[in-house]
Amino acid sequence: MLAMVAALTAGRPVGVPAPVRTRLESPNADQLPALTVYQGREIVSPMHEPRDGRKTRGVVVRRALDVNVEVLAIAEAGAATPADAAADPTMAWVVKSLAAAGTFSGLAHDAPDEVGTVFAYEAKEVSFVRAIMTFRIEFSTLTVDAEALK
Amino acid sequence: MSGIFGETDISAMLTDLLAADGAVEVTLGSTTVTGLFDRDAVEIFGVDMATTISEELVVHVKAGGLPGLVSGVDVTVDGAVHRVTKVLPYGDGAMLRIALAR
Repeated sequence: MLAMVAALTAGRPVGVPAPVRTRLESPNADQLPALTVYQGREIVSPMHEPRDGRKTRGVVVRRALDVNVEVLAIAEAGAATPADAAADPTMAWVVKSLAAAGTFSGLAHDAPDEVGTVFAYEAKEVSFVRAIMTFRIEFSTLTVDAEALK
Repeated sequence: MSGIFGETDISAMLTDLLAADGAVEVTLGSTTVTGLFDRDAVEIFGVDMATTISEELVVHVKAGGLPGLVSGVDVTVDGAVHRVTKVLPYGDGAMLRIALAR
């Protein structure tokens, strides 16, 4: 997560907000756009099928962590940019920067795999768009120590 | 007095409120009526992360007073131009609830 936030922070273009890890505060419209990185779901699976008569998962497990990147943006009144396009510059940066980050210096097996994006819209005082982009990151650790990368 | 106000009662009350600075002028095209303006905080989104705080801008006017009032048109409320995002009947339908965007 720290490596992802660092990748999204360094060299970001003008207009792309600084990422925040796991936002628990509620922003107001005048604080947008906002970019938040948070963990979604982690799937843990054995590296190999268990042998007959054994319950162990083995020494090493494979982890697939779905990390969500939430982009919040508004379409200003009278602006030429509609709500659905207001998040585009930040979303484009997210894809580029995470692809460029690769394996995060060997922390992951591969570059983040972009799974998909869910969009939502609200029309209140201004028009809002929220895009939740999901990236899957695969890595391996000791079965008994999730911090011991393998 | 009946529990349901008639058109004359509503007009009189809005006029009194405007005089007391408790109402605003609402203009669409060449027509100006009196309305009641409200600004309420609302929370939106927030499935996984915390909600986003917005404001709901609403003005109530007497039904039938603003010809051409539909979603998407611009109205001037208390001197500021807003876009109409929703037009809903309010109460028994004698008044309208108009949702606005800046």
